Amino acid sequence: MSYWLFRIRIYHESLKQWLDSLRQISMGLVALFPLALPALIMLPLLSIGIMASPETSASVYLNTLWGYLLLLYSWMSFQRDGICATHYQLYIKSLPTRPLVKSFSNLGLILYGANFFILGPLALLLIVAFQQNGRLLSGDEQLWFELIPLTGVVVFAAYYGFVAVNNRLPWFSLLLFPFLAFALPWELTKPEWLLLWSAAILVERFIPSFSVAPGKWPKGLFRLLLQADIDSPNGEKLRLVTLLLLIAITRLSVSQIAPETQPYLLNLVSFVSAILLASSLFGTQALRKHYHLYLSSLPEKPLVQLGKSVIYAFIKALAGVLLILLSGIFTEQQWTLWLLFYISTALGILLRPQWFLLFPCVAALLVFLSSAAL
Amino acid sequence: MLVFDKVSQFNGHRCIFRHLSLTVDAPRVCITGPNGIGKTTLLLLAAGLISPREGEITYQKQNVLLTSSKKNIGISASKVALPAFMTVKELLKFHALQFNCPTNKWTSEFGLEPYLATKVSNLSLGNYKKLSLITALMHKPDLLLLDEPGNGLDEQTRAVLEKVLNSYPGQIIVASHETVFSDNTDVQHIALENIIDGAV
Repeated sequence: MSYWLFRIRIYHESLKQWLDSLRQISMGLVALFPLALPALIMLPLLSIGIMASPETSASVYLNTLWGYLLLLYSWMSFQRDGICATHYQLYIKSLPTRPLVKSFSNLGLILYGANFFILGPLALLLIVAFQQNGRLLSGDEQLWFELIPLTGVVVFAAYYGFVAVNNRLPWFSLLLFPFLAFALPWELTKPEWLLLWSAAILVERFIPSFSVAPGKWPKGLFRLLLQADIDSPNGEKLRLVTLLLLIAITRLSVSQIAPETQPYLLNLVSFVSAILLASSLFGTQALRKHYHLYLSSLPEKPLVQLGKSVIYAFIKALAGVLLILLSGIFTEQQWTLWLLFYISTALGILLRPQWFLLFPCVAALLVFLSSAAL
Repeated sequence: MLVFDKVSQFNGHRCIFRHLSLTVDAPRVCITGPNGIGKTTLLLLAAGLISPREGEITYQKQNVLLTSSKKNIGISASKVALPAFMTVKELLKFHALQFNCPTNKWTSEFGLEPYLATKVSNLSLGNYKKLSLITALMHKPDLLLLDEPGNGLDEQTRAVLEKVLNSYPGQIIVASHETVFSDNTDVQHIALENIIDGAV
């Protein structure tokens, strides 16, 4: 077995474990939204079409690119352990394999893992360049200009693919900048947006890295829960990225549909975002279960500990609430529904974790029936 | 000769070694010290598996971080996780190919033959330890680094290990609470708690 095949084997094993752990959740999703998974797979395909089209407006392009890159970042983050062979790093380092072979294997695995996200737009770009080589060589400025957005997709996708694998959170260029970009008063063209985004990446690289160190506060169980999140932030990071992806898709979809159907879509978004933010309670509960012997030895009643865990999960959800608030996608109606769905999901996780989705679904059904009766 | 030149290493904010200078030239060395003092970290640094925060570690005047050093070094430590999803045979074949060395001899010597088709994840603690020792010994490195090599091994395998180590031509550094060399072997003992803040 060559070094490359060995790394591929590790990647496939890691992917298998990941898919196994996802099976339960995805089965729940499929049961709830039969078209959710096919739609998720179709999303990047559709996005490339939108971003490659010269007819697409700059703001729709920017929103689609943001959603596409967030999806890519999440996808690559999920696969990081397999691509980097994280669990076997020490063993791999002990091998006398040439650094060049190791580097090429890493590069190959990133491309293999990113798959359609990088190779898709790259293939499209190459096809266009091949078919239109005559016009390109003759210096057709219009065509060159039209290819810039697609080139931007390829370059940014490759960059964020590498960033995700290297476990760096591009908090400024991928999370904050595009989120705030929509509030900017300027009307920029697509190449100008790409230039501005590149500047954000450069700025981010010069900002020194910082780590969150809680001071003397909080104390007790809150401190323990916070330390656990700081120690393993990947779950919360992905939840944040997914929420931003949801906001990006919502903004894009709302601008494309008729005003009278918009509230229905937003109600659905409030349902999904409430489940997403409440799902953080799963992590808290898993932590309590893992250390239940130690926690039981503490002079604090289990019910008090449970209450504190729920409060902690709710405080964490407030960060997501703030982002939704800043994006301005919800009206009062959606906020009321969001609170209802959040509470019902949290109750589901606490009372029947395996069937937790039933709780918000029943709440949604009751809302639907009562609104129909009115 | 293994040389640590002004090596500093931290675990988070906790300092494990500060400006540690150490020359290890005895053919048989035993590193001792209380739990958590940094014995395993010292071995991982010596094998070039982790980079020191400061300083340099060389073996035969070559930086241990270089790929070319790997062929001269073999390590067996529980922190070095072996691919759990492969069978013993698959892993040994892969390992042998990487180091360009034969696979036979060691499995029968350590009594691992019956487990060749077993997945690494399904091995018992003792058999996992045997496999780890084989991966360290297989390419006959000039420097053998062993972290608690006797852990989990039965009496019979301990005797085999002792025999192998006593006749081993290269340098051996062991981090252990118990002796693995025979009584008549000349062993240099390094008490880590006495040197971690200074030079030897």
